Amino acid sequence: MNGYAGRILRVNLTNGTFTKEPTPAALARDFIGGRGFGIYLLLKEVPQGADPLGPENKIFISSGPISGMLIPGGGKCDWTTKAPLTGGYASASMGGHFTAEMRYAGLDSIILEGVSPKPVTLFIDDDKIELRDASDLWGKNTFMVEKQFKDKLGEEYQIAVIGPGGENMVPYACVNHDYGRQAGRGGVGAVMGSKKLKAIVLHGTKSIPVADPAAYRKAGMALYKACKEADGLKQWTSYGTTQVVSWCDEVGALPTRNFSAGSFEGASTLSGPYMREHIVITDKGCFGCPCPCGKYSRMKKYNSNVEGPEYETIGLCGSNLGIADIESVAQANLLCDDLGIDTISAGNAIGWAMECYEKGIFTKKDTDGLDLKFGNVEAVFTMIEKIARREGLGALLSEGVKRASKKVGQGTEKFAIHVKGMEQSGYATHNATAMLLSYMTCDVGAHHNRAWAITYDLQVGRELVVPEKVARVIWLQNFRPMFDVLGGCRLQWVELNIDRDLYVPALEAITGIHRSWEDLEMVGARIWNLTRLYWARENEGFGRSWDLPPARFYEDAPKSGPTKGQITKFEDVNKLLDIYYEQRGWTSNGLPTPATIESLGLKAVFA
Amino acid sequence: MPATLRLSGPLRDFNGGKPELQVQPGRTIREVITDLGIVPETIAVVVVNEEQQTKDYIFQEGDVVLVLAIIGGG
Amino acid sequence: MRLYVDSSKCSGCNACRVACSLNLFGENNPKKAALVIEPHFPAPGVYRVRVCTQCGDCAKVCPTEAIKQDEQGAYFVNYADCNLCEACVPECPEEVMFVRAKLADTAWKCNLCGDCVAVCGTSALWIAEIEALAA
Ligand code: SF4
Ligand code: SF4
Repeated sequence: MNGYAGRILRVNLTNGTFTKEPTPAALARDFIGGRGFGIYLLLKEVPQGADPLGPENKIFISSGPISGMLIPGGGKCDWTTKAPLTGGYASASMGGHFTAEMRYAGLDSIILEGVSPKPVTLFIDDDKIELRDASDLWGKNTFMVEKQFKDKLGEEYQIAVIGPGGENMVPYACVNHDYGRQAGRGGVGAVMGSKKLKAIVLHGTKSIPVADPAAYRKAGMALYKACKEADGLKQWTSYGTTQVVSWCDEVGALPTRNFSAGSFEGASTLSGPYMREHIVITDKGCFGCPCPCGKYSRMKKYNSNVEGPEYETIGLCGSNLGIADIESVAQANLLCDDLGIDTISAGNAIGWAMECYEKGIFTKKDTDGLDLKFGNVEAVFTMIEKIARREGLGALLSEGVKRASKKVGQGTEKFAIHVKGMEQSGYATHNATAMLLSYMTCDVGAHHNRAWAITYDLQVGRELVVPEKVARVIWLQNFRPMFDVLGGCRLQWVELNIDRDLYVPALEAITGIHRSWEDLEMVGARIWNLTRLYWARENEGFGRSWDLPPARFYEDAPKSGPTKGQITKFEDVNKLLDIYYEQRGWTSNGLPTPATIESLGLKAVFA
Repeated sequence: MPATLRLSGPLRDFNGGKPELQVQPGRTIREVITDLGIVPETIAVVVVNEEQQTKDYIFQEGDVVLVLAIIGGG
Repeated sequence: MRLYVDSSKCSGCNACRVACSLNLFGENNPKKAALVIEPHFPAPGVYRVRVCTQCGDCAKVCPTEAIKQDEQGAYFVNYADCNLCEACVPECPEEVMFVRAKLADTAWKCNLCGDCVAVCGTSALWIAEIEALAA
């Protein structure tokens, strides 16, 4: 099948067997790849009510038709599973070079199922597939393990590995790859840990067949040309996502002290230009990317190196914890990566604990003696370690803020900043209704990358609650995740503003099938509805109340900064949902109606 | 000599689809883009002659000013 | 003419290698490229790129004279004449002369097509006249 490696590898960890199945043509036609494959397989193969950390759960690792191709940013890999963090759908996108290598090894997807009796590494070199004993690697940090494999096998091998966080099944443990790229959110690393799979080691030398090589080369070259000629290329390559730090601070979107405000007095020493000048040594990108956003940094103070920090980590492990020293933020980033936990959830959870401490709800008795005040760098480093090892207060925080605040009570739920159990990522959403709605309705929990609508709020009026705003969010939710379906990065479109129609002939030349963006957005809408149905299938009573934002954004206005005194009224929160559900064709409780399921052709999938 | 204001991608909609316009020196970037209908807060980055500046920078003769918005988001 | 590189600008994306394999073999397979990206991580945290300097040392030792020079001055492999003896491989001072019999029926090297330069987003690569060696 053109544009596809052609095989799906199924690894049964319980009895150590492998099967290769041809990638079904109908699956490729209806769901294309990446997270499209992921949700389809999750619905079909993981039984209702499966324990996310039990033997019934599976991990679906999928590339897409532009992965590993001559297409800017064709280096994204989707990891879908039932999320230990939320009990719902998880789909984490991982950059780097793994997805390309999977395809060169002849694989479109890898399905991991069962539980191995002892720690193992999945080793793949073209058609040679083995499970190798990993007892000696268990307990080790991610960088050391990756380095060990690279030193032994060579740089052509690509490695995905979990750290102690994953082994200890921290519900927001991540998978690490290429010394700094992660499948970060929702706890994919914990599921890998539950299966006793320490690492996947991958090497492939095959070619990916394309329908029309000449047209493919031409269309690919045209995409690279557009990227190279884009106005924003130089700026973006210099700073990556950190270019928005100052801007977020200016508009009140920079998460500050557990999202109690959106502007931080120390933002200037966290800004992109400041970071570039002081710690960045190399630009590091994903496979095929002409505009590398990864900033590789050297922290003199700690004698260490890390890829990052990128914007999210600066927000969550910097301003959100009251830390203005960029080297310290970078070091926190390194600790999280090395131990294998998500910087966003970890930073958010520590921010919540700091607020508990400053309010006197936690005392030193609760914090294992730590002075857990905002701004205490050493305490943050200690907490990261304790979370990954689930020790002391770290054990509570490792549960995520939803569960932790429920245990602690005393009103701490009000400042637990999450939706559906996933900690909110790096945008404070005080009085920014489109962005708030994005977080409320995002299909994995409070993550920003499905719809990023904050500039739209600013352009049309932050507090407005109108159908156009909701429509914008829905359009973004249908369109942007299509890059995760195609197996590529959206930032070339987002940041360099290249014409998205340039992808159409490329995709056609690769697969031999013409698909317009309209058609692709329809696939996006189908996937969006399926993820919603999945949440409902797995969670008794799922509906509108699950979409409510953290109380902070409708009850607790910032006391400083550009959003001082500004929140969204609770009635507007509900109005946002009313309009959203109506436009989506969902019931007033937020579930797809039978007519919607029918009109999207999903009846056969979701029987 | 006028200065040049260059608008990235979607911002061109505020200038009849054109990427550039000529600007008389003496006014701030904030004033000029506001006149075009752009809400200044939506502008993430301003680059003047290859260096990052604030929106309160005053246009000088011959400047080339690039404004970037992140409409589609991070 | 030859290919030049400023390794400090490289971000390790490998787009150049995909473009290269597409030109040399009409295939989408960076393992069949004629330049090498060596990542050195986590420390010191740099990429090193190895490219062909068109020195011609490979051509000198080829027993079947499969490696020829074109009008730009680029040495290229005439695939039909290569017998996979691998004599050229150790001669290459940059280690960018390839024989991997599992992957291709011929040796391969950079033929200066320029496609890598066209796709490199960081402008790490360029083609220019060969500079006279400094004394
Ligand atoms: S923009 Fe960043 S995330 Fe996207 S492909 Fe490039 S390096 Fe990877
Ligand atoms: S295309 Fe440029 S940045 Fe990418 S690997 Fe090649 S030399 Fe490096």
